[in-house]
Amino acid sequence: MSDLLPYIFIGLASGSVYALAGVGLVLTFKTSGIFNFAHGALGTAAAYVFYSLHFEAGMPWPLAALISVAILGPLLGIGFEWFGRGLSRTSMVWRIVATVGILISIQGLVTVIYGPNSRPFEHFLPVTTFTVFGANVTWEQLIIAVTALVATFGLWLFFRTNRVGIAMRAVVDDPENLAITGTSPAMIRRWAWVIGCCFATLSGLLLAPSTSLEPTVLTLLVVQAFGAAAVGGFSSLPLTYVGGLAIGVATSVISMYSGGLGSVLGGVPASLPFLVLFLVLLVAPKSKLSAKEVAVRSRPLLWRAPGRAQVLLGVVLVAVLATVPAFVGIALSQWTLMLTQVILFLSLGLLVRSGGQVSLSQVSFAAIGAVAFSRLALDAGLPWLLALVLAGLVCVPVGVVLAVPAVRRSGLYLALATFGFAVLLERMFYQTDWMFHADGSGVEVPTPSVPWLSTTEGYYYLVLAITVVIAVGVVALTRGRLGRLLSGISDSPLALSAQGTSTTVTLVLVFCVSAFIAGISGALSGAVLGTVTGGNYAPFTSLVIVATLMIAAGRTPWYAVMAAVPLVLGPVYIPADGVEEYLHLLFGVAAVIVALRGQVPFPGMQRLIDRLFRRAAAEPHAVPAPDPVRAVPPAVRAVDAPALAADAVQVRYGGLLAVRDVTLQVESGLITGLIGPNGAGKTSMINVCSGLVRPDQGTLSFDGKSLLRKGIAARARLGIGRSFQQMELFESLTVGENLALGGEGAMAGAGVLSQVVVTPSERRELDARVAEAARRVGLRELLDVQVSALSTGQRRLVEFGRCLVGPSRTLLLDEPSSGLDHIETAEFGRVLREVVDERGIGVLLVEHDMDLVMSVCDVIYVMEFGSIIFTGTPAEVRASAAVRAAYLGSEDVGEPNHRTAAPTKEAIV
Amino acid sequence: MRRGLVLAVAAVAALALAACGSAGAAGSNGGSTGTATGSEWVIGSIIDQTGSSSPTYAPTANTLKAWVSHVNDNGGIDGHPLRLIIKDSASSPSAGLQAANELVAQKVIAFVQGGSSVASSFAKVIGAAGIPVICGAPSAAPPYGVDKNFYPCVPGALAETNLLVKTAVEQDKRKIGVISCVESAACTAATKAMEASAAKYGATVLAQNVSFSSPNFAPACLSMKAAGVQALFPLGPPPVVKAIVEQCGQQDFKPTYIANSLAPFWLNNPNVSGFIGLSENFPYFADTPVATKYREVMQKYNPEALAVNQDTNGTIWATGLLFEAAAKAGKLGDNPTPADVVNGLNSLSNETLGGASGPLTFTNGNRSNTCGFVVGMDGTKFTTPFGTDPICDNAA
Repeated sequence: MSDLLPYIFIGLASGSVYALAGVGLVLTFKTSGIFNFAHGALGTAAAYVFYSLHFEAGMPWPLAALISVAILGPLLGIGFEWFGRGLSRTSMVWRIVATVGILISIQGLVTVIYGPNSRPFEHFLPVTTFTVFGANVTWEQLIIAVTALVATFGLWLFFRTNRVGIAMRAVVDDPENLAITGTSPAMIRRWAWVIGCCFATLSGLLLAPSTSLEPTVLTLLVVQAFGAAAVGGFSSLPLTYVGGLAIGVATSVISMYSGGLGSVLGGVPASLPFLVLFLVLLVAPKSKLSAKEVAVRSRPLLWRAPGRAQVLLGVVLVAVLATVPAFVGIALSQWTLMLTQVILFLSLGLLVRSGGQVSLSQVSFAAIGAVAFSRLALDAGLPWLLALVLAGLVCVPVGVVLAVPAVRRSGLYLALATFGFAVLLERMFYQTDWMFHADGSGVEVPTPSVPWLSTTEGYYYLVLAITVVIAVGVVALTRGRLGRLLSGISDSPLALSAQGTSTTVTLVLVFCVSAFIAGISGALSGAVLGTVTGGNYAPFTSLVIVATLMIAAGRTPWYAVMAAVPLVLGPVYIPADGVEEYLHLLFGVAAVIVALRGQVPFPGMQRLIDRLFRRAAAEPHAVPAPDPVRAVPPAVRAVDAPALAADAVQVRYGGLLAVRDVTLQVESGLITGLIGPNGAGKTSMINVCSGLVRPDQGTLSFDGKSLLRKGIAARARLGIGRSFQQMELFESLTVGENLALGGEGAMAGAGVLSQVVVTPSERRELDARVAEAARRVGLRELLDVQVSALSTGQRRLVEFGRCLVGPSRTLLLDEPSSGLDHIETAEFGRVLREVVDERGIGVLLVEHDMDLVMSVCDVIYVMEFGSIIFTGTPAEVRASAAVRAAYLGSEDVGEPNHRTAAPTKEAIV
Repeated sequence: MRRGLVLAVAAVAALALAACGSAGAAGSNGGSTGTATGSEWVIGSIIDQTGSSSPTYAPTANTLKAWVSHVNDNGGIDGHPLRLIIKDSASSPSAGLQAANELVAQKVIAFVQGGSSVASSFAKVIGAAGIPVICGAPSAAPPYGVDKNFYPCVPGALAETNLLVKTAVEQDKRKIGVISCVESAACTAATKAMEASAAKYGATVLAQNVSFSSPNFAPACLSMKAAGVQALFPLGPPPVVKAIVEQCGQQDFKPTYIANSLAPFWLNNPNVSGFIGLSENFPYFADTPVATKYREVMQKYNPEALAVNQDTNGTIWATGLLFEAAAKAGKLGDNPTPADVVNGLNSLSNETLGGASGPLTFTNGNRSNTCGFVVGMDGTKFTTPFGTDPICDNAA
């Protein structure tokens, strides 16, 4: 043990560094919901400002430090608050892209202004040492440790005792409620950002003397604080602090025992922060790392050129590319590289642009692909094309591993996990004989042995052909069922599950396809260079690629071309010093602007193309007139057993018993109402029935078979459909597409093939169902309208209509008339009754509109404080004095046009 | 919104135009041509003038230009002036490939290399064109020593470490520690070579990985100290090596240091109790004719070369001398071809470049060089404890 003590104390000193950086990061994330990937870059900027003031201009260090932290920090904080406000209603994808864009921009700017040179950053705090348990600790390290401790404790106290601090905790949960109290959420967020940015600048200043001043090292050091943040669950400041210390101590102690260089274990000490990050994100319970969902402002539908125009553009583009060897001369290899990067962007676009899954490790798959291809083609002597395909397949299991955080986590944590993976791969595997060899020789990547194909020109045409094949394949995927499912996942994975799709299968599938394509890209680009080393696949490149992808205009596959051309050919044709740094700066700035303001539209060009190519009728959404014969057949009636039966169900949320021994049945052919005051447990009960919540006790069956082991998607496929109290629509899709997913979700199901392939009969059946549902709910005229543009009432109808398209035999409707006016509500009730009578389905209707409940329900359950207090027909409910007194007020219920408010607690005796 | 994007593009473009320079384009330096009367020989060089490796390698461009100026001011090589075209590889493989393609198109007869970290990316193109690559930096690792088109003027990685370990063993330092950066292939390669060399000479090596961006190297220092390491070889960029030395000193661990780079921070460093260094080419500080000449030329044309990256610049000087030797051996005349240069190079045997390198032999396809210059330190200045002749490792 005494041998360990020096390492422990040294580890505490370095862990304080991670803790200081991590605490600031978590603070801004907690209060703004934005994980600031640029946190480290702020520290870099502060260190450079200090350097300029103190070392170059001769300013005394306390004054230079004051300016770098106490002035620059707040200025950055105010800027970030403004920036954060602009991002507050954007999706997680754009928030990640925006902060990655800032990171790239700051690094690019620093490089442009100061150059890439490493500058000596002398210590400005004392570095004399004192001994603690055999370890010599400098006063500088002690100051950093004390600063981290005091700052963390101070923040913790601030959150609990200070009004502003308490407000900071409140602003995360419900800014609107906070505003009602008279406290401005914007002001509170500004304080949070100011404090967070001061932490970032302070971190940079204190850490710079330990490393050296150059654009990337300091940024990367703070990135290592992500591991500390992960230990804190990205929410707890004290735990983040402890996590930082733990990582520092563990890194220090492990250095006693780690493996030799060139071995995987040899890379553990240097990789520990990222190992912690990756493992926490992989295995931590879902409840520990749930990110608060915020209402997202949908972006308008991207214009899609008519099919004929796209085909024509594709033919023209390929024809032009086919002539490239004739006029680009010595730059032909760069054009070949550009094509390989088109393939890489297509692979990433499947994940990010189609599926909303931000992966920050795409370049790592290219690395694996290049290495695998080299081994297969050269060492194993396989034919070139076979080796290429197999190299892609080698990447697939790795894609499966990365799909796990995608399945279990929200977008942010997936991004962090993939970034952690990329760094881990670099540090633990690149310099080993598993990949690029411990002697740094790299791997040789061959071109085909067929003579002409191994020439520069021949290889270009080969890569062009492969690019076209892959592009067509990706287009087919994104325009097909998988693409629609990915759009659904991007907008609302919950809603997609509720339609019957196993989103786990979808995510694993798309990660595997993406990894396969990225691996092929790596193999093809490696062959252009001939020999590749780990330096070709730096993790930072993946960040640049994501930012570039998101700012690229156009849909699949055009964004891939729009991204690859400037990135690869820009440095070739722009003869300026450091053009790559300028391009990175440009891409970073553009990513921020596009994240805030959206893509640049070109309405004039779009109108011209529409005029020339778009057919007047039937395009783009041709829905046949409803064919009553092909309409969804009535559900099979369960004669004896109720469709859905819950028995003695109990649900507990922590110490709160939300549902207490509830027993109810939802019978086929009947509309069963479930009413009660707010907080009675109605939605919890629906969530139990649909599979969103697991009951702590009780049984649940459907047609006599237990549902308890079935998830939400499996229950949907069995025939249990639902709507949500907080609507879960696919906001980026049209009404027609939303309705279609109601049926297609179950068709896709959990099968790999069924999630990709649509048979013609499925297509016809789906179109018929959509038309029928649209007619029933009165949305025929709005099929091509994006749902985010609809009124609340219309959106409710879309959600209900989506339920009708699916193969539901039992519908769980949670306040479906919320937002509808009287007339719409009455019409809704009529349609609901009609559907139940025609199809024989069962409905469990949770509602506060008593007129609706009383007019359509066959039987009503009344809940109070988690228990059923009455069951009966509407007339019996109306007549029950206890129910009336408890829930319906003292006035008569059910009289025409007399809407009864949900009973308040005071009304209950 | 569109205006914002346009403004952003304009701002960045303005920055770019302001910095528009000639180094990425056909940057060249020929100096005056003195009394040279023969045809001009066009040579090329690919250098990391921008990008992450530029702090180390960008200065080599000026060293190369200084050599060319010196040659031209003195009548060229056999009366033939030189025209040097430098292309920026931007520390990027794809930029290196493009640079190579451009130089091949410009029909250079040889690549007289400066410093580039991406040599493997352009090896294939240059090899296909049959243009030889002459030394440069770094040239101790592949493709040097492996690719027949690459002609090193420095010892290979294994030869270097053999010399260092042999010297350490002779000083009774048999327990050697290596603290190596995990991000760089060069670091890993050197460590592997150290382990192999230790096995040959009866020493033991204890190796530890660290990251460039680690805030604290003290744990590695403590491990080394606890293990009784007598000589420590920190591997990484100079700022990282300097930090390791400093932090080991803070832990009262002041071993003999082994270094393959003669940076100024070694001198007068209280944390260093002994020093075993290796200069791949002539010790730039020595009082030898070649070193004296080098210092004179640099003082005239490129004084900065004597202040930073001195040993790397010394290798570039040796690179120029190697081209001269090949040109003379190959009897290059008017309008030579790359094949003429190759013939000249392949005829060299035991060529020492006037003391600038160990004996170089490229006949029979040999591309290895096993000789270097061991350097010591007396605290205030570097020394040559074994004289100024190269020491060869015949075990490599």
